This record gives sequence, C-alpha cells and structure tokens, in this order.
Amino acid sequence: MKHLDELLNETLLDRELKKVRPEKIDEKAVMNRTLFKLGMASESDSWYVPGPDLEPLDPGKLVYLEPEKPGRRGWRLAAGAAAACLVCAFTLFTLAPSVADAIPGLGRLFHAANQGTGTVYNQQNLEWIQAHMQNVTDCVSTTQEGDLCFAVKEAYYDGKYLYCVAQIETALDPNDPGVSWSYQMKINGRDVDFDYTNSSKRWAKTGENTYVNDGISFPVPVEYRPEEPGDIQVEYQAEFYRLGEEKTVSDTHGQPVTELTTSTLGKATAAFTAPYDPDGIIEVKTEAEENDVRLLSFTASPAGTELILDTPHSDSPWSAGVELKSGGRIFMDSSSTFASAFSEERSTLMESGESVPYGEKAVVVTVSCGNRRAAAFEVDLENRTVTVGDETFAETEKARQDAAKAEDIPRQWRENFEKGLAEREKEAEEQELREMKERIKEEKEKLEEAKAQAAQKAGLEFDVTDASQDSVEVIGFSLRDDLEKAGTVVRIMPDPCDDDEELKKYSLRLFDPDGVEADNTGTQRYRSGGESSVLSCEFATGLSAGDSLEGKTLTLQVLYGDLGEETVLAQFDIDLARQTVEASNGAVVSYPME
Amino acid sequence: MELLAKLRRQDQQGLEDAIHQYAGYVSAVVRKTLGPFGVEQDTEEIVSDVFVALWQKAGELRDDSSLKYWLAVVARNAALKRLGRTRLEEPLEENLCFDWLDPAQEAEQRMLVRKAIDSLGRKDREIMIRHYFWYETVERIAREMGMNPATVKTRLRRGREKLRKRLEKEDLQYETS
Repeated sequence: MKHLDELLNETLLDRELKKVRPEKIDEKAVMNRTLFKLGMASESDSWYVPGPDLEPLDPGKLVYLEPEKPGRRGWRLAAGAAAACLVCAFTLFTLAPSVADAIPGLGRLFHAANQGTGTVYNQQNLEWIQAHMQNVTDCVSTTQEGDLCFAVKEAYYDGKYLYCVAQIETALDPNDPGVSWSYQMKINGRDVDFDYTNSSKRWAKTGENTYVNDGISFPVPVEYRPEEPGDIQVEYQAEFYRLGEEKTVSDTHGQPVTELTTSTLGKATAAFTAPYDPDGIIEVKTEAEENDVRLLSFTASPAGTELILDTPHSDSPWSAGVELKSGGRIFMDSSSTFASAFSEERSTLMESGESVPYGEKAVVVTVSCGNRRAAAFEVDLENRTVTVGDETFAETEKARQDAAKAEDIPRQWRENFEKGLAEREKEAEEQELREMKERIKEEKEKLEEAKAQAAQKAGLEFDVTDASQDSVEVIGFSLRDDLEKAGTVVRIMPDPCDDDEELKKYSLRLFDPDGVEADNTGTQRYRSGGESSVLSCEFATGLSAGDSLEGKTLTLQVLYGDLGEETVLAQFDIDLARQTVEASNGAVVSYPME
Repeated sequence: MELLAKLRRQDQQGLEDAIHQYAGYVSAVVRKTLGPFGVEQDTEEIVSDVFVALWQKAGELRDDSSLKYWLAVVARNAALKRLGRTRLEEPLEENLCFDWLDPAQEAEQRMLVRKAIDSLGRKDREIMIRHYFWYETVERIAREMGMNPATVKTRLRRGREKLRKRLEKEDLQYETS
C-alpha cells in the first residue's frame, strides 16, 4: 500500500535526478573528509598498494567471427582492418600528431581513445563502430543559438543502437570542467527517452575552435525501434551550459545568499538520416531451456548486449549475469529494461548491459533467482548455438518467432497504452462537454427564474454594502451599433476561481435607462485567469437604433450569493453619452468606451 | 576499467575516481535538496557521507550504469535527513492509497502517474515538483517564480485536485485514506 505522495516521489525520482546538472565543488575537501571518515591515508602513504588490474583484452582474439559470406563484410575482415588501422594510427601519432589529426576518422578516433574518454566500449569495439560510421550528407541544422555551431558528421543505426559523431564549432572549450552539455532526441518524429548516462562527454580538438565527439551511442529502447528495419530520421538537440555560476539571492529572512546556478551557452538542433547497418549485430535465438527458464534471444552489438528470457512468473529472477567464457570475468550484470507477463504463469524479461568485448567467441549467461542459480546457457557466438549441459541447441524458426513475439510486447504495450490514453481523454472530454451543456441549461433555467422573481421586486432599494474597487472592477463595456444590446465584462479579485461553485455565486444584473432590469440575451460566462476571475454577459438595453444617448445611463450590478439571496457587491453607472463608468459608492472608475 | 570493480576490490583509486567523476553531480543534488538551508560545509559533509556509503556498499551495487542514480538517491536522502524533513507543508489531503499487485503493474501505474504529472500546465507542474519532490517551501517557490505565496498555495491545491481527477480517469486502483 502506497500513498500518492510516496508514489509521486518514486515516479519522479529518476527523471528529476537526471535533470540535475553537475556543479562545482571542492573535490579536495570532499576527498579529505571522505578518507578521514574511512580512516584511510592518501596514495602517497607507504601502505598504499594499487589493486591488480584486470587482464587486458587480447586484440588478437577476433570476435564475432561470422562465417565469411561473399559480398558481405565479416567481422574478421573489418576487425582485422580496424586492428591494422589502430597500429597505423598509433605510429602516425607517435611520429607526427598533426598528421594523425589531419586524417579524417583516424585522428579523431585516436584522440578520443588516447585521451581516456571513459567510453563504455572496449577499444576494439570502438574500432568496429568507427569502421562502420557513414558520412551524414543531409544533416540540417534547424536552430543555432549562442556561441555554438553543431552538426552530426557521421552516424549509423544497427537496429539496436544509434551511433553518432558530432562536431561543434565554438570558442569555448567543451572539455572545461565548468562546461557541460545535455541532449534530447527524436527518432522518426517521436521523442525517445534515452539513457545518456554512458555516453562520452569528451571532445577532441580537430582544428581551430572545432571539436568532435565520437564514442556516442544511444541504446534505442525496444518500443521505439521501427518495426521494419531501415534508415531512421533523427532530430538531435544539444545544449551546452556553464556550471557553477554564482548568483546572489535573498533567503527567507531577506538576507543575501550566494547560489550556484547554470547558464545556457548555446543550443542547436541537427536533423539527419542515420543509415541502417546491422552488420555488427549477432543474434542467437534457440529453444534452449533449463529449469523451466528459456533464453529466447541473445543479441550482441558493438555497444551493448541484450537478453530476452522467458521464465516462470512465480520464479521471476529480475536479473541475469553474463560472463566471459574465457577468463570468467563478468562483463554484464544486467538490469531489466522491460518485463511483461505472457500469462499468469510466465514472464518475459528483457535485460541489457555492457557490450561483449572484442575477441570473445562464447559467453555464459547465468540466470539467478535470489541466491539460487536457476539456469546457465553457454552461447557460441561463432556457430550461433546455445549449450545447456550436454545438449546443444541450434536456431529454429519457432525460436525466431518466439523471440519476435517477445520483442513485440513492449511495442504493443506502448501502442495500446497510447491508444487507450487517447480514447480515455476523448471520452473524458465528451463527458465534460455533456456535463457543461447540462450545467449551462440548468443555469439558464435558474437565471430565467431569478429574473422573473427580480421583475416582481421592481422598485426594490438595494443596500450597497461593499463596492470596493479593490475587489470588483468593470474592465469592458460595449454597445452594439443598433444600441439594442450591450456587453459587460467584470473582473473579480482576489481569485475565487479554484472553486467553480464559489465562482458561480457571482452574477451580473443590468438596469436600462428607465431603471427596468434588462433581459440578459446571452449566457453568463465565467473564466478563471489565475490571479483573478472574469464574468461577462450580454444584455438587452431597452434602446433602439436612432435613440439619443444624451442623459442615458445604464446601471450594472455585481451580485454575490445563492439564487434569490444575493447581495450587491458593487454597482456601476455607465453613462452612455460621456462614455464613462463610475462606481455609485463614490469610487471613481472611468473607462473610455469603444 | 570499471569503477565498481575497483571499489569492490577496496582499491582507493576507485574511490578517488568516483569522487572526481561524480562529486559535482552529487553536490548539485545535495544543494538542490538543501535549498537555502545549507552552507558549503554542509554540502561537502553530505557529499563525503555519500562516498563513504559508496565505499561501504560497493559490493551490493549491480553495475556502473546504475551508479550515478544510486549516488543521487543516497545524496538526496542524506540531505533530507540533514534537514530533518519529515512532512510537507501542504500535505496531500485525501491521500490516495495504492495497492500493488505485481512489479509489472507497478511499472504501468508509475507511467500513468508520470503521464498525469505531465498533463498539468507548465507552471503547475513546476510548482508541484518543486514542492512535493524537492520539498521547497511555498515562500521560496513564490520568490523564485515571482508569484504570491497565496497563489502558489492555490496552485498546489489545484494541482493536487487535477492530479486526483486525472488518476481517477485512468482507473487506478486506490482508496481514500
């Protein structure tokens, strides 16, 4: 059982926290405090011994070995070429960095890799991505604001991830610790809620005021992937901002305090087509099963790994680990991105995580429930088979269909959700319209009745108790050309509009020059304006075309209260010849009329 | 090399890397939560508490990709604890209680609530998030958004009402407490 405020917090937690932008802090002070609390000395102390590094990956072990097919680039070929390029790049940079910079792709890549960008890829995976980048020819910058010119130079989409190389021209240093950036993206016209946390934020300088950022990959969520594989249209908005600018504001006691804020340096949007190239994807879909847990699909791409599991609902593990066959290192302790129940008994889980490192031919998927190991699948990336115990499963048509069905769940779910939402909204609007019509009808009937009662009370003297112009004001008056009808608009302050019933207790009444209550010829309208509310109504004036306006005065009353029990809040005399409105309690309000 | 792998090995370099990489972000979360009530020393103290927690809990964390979010949540909770914030100025009257049947349904209902929040007007949404998520006072919201405190209160009341109506339309299972 959860309360709404708890739910609000949980629901908004990740989104609101993601919006927070880093600010400057004294890292040294934080470091000292932290080490002190932990009773630890600094690195320079004698006892400090750095931990053993993980073994470096073996570039010689080429990965994703796909049987070479005529006319199609294979992993072996591309990976070999990429490895060769890396050697060349290293040599060139060693000899003459400027030469490396001058070579498109190589210089950029080397820079990014060499500067320790913190990308999530293994170096060899990065090489693979770079080898497949295609020039973007139709990139259109729709907006450019501030000190920033932004464009996407290279991109491709492998059906799971979108890869981009972006370039900015700017006088600012995008790698300055005080500068950061964020982005939003649309794919095929639809906003996509990307996880940007693993994207590289480093920029390599390639020329005067020119920087590139490669190593950007965006995992396209399953429900946003186009059903039919193909090129995608991307709209990519980047915003640069400066962190930690000081601003003086007043605290609750009016004392000046310094707050750290951010300010936007530039914003730009690039629209482009990302060509579809699934060459880097390895998918293994079999009917492998152990302990009632099925591995429907294992997908490796250069930037990430995805699993689809079909498990007993009552025994849903909600997590799966993937470890390297060689070396036993766990490289993907996955997190669920989507889960749905096939039925009351079964669940479908989609897991995603780190990419399979270049050089691996097989991986082991371990599915655990609590501390219990539920199943283990050995996935052979070369032969696209899965082994459970002594049994090896090859790909089958049924397995492919089951995987496709599972991948369709989030898409269907989203479509149904959006469709259902639209239907419910439409239904609610129609219901609201019906209710509004009912209310208008009732109000009209009540007004007719009140009007009849008022007519019977002709000659009644009204006790004007409060005509304060602070609370009621005539803000508009118009007289039709044929003089037969007049429109009045009155503003009420403070705003009673948060309560519709309260607002409806206000009403307008007009008396013609002869002092006879005028018929209202339109519905009395109410409108909430935030700080105040507005009432308007149209009345018959009792005049007709050609009548002289000299000496003719209309009297407008603003009433408050339940029907039949209203009191007059304010009364205004509208002098038609002088074109003025004057409060009859003495307060002066004068408006030239149109 | 993975940051968490270093921390799990109790490698001090991992802690230093984490502070270098995330201190700015964690401090921003702390400052935003503390609002005008914290001085810089408070922020540093809480940020260091967060990294102490990271050092001690690294073995329980799943992977680097969720690290930033974990740090943010810990930072926010630590800052709220420092403020002694236990209740809101404007409690959600007629609080709605939700029953959770299973995690999948919970995820769906969270998405509905998020949609409901997004359906509010820009100003109302900002006021609701500032108050109910970041626990900003009515006075502070009014000052920073250039509004009267009374108007902020009115909008909070109206926002709650709209949210309730919107959730009713979505057929969420709830009861009034």
